[in-house]
Amino acid sequence: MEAVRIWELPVRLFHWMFAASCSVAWLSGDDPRYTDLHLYAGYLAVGLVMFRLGWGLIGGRYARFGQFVLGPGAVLGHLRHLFDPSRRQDHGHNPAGALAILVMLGLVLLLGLTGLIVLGGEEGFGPLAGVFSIAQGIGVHGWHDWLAWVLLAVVMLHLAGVALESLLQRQNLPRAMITGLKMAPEGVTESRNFSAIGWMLLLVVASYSAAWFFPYLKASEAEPYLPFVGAELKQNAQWQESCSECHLDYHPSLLPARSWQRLLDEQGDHFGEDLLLSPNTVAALKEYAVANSAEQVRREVSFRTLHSVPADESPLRITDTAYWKQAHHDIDKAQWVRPSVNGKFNCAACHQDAGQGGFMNGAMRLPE
Amino acid sequence: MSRTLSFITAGLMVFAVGPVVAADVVDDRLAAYQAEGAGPFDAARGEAMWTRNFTHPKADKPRSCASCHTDNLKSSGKHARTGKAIDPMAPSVNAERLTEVKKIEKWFVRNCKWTMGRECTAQEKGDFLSYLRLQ
Repeated sequence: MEAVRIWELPVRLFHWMFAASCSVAWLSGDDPRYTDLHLYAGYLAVGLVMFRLGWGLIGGRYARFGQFVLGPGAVLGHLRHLFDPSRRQDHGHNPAGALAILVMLGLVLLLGLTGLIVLGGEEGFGPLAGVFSIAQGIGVHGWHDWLAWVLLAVVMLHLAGVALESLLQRQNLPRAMITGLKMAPEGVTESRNFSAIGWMLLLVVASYSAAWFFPYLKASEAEPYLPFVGAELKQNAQWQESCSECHLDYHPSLLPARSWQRLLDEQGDHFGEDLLLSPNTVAALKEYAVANSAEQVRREVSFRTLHSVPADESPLRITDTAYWKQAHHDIDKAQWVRPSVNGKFNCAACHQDAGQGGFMNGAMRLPE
Repeated sequence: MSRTLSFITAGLMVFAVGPVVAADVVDDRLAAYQAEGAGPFDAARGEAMWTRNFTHPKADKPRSCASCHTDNLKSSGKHARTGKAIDPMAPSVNAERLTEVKKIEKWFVRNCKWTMGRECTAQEKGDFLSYLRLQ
């Protein structure tokens, strides 16, 4: 037995960057605050799959699909001789591992595709913006989540397989994916290292990462970098002036039209205060609110809020809607009473685009 | 006249005209309150009223003008309920104050009602304006 280079540099780099990007995507997927990081990792994972598919055609000896994708018969044969490694001929991927690899590559492609549909549908961003509706985006979001769980399960199988093979072959396979070297019988052909291509791959990923995160370096407290603000919603000077005398000028897209009509009809007792708006002002505010209410604006927050309010209800508080409650259910009570927050009505404490009415995922921060 | 000089003159005119207009608005208000039978007005009475605590029938805590505007008219206040910042009341630091009849009357109605549970009388409004204009 001698140490032979089985995994060339590009394959090793691919493996670890792929594992890292999938892990980051998994960890950043649940909290909308990390949407930008999630997208970075998702695009990276898909890009790495593309690279790996190409490399599987032209790459090193043990990286080529022709070498390790051998069909179901080979997988069954492998499993039959699982505990007798001496009878096996594979020095690169074994047939069961190969199957896991193909499934993982395929799942990440599907995750990328469904992710882009969610991004385009729910957020109105990305290459599929405008192609899918919010409802379609929300529907596909369920598949996206489901695929991520399947991927996690396959990753676990892959890890279990690596652990088992390491024991059976009496060699550290994770380390082999770092050094590229595996113990093999004499006469086993080694792979070229393709160092130049490896470094190019690293350079491309580094440039992509730098370009993605560069805007955060330039951002300041006063001018935060908000990757998902979106097209500005229609604003109205009279609305802004009237509302912002006492509180945030909540954009009309945050409640159904019937809520705004009721709120303006009851302006003589607005949460205990008489707003003293003239009939002309009330009419003008109503016109703007109805034309830009949750029914009219294409935003996920509007869509979800609208669909969470029963048809026979006209809530006056955004915080009374079921969607608001659901979206904020895991916020600790202590957060609301902090001086920098001061209450549930102060959306802008955390939603940096609250003034624009966006309430986009990436524009959320807990205040210092 | 040189260009620079005309800019300076224009700037000075803005300074000169600003307070005069503001004073006119307040004078007009005081005259209007007098026409309603109020007066003479007293800044000291306005000041005392400003910091006085009232028991609003619907509130559990006593309320005063200072609840939102603070005792120091030259500093920013804070909306008692929403916490939104309120620009200083003193015309000496906030030139926009007491320049618009509509706003003066609107906020008298809303804030007197909030603080005391009733509208202010012409006498009280005159005292307030006499006090505020000196700040």
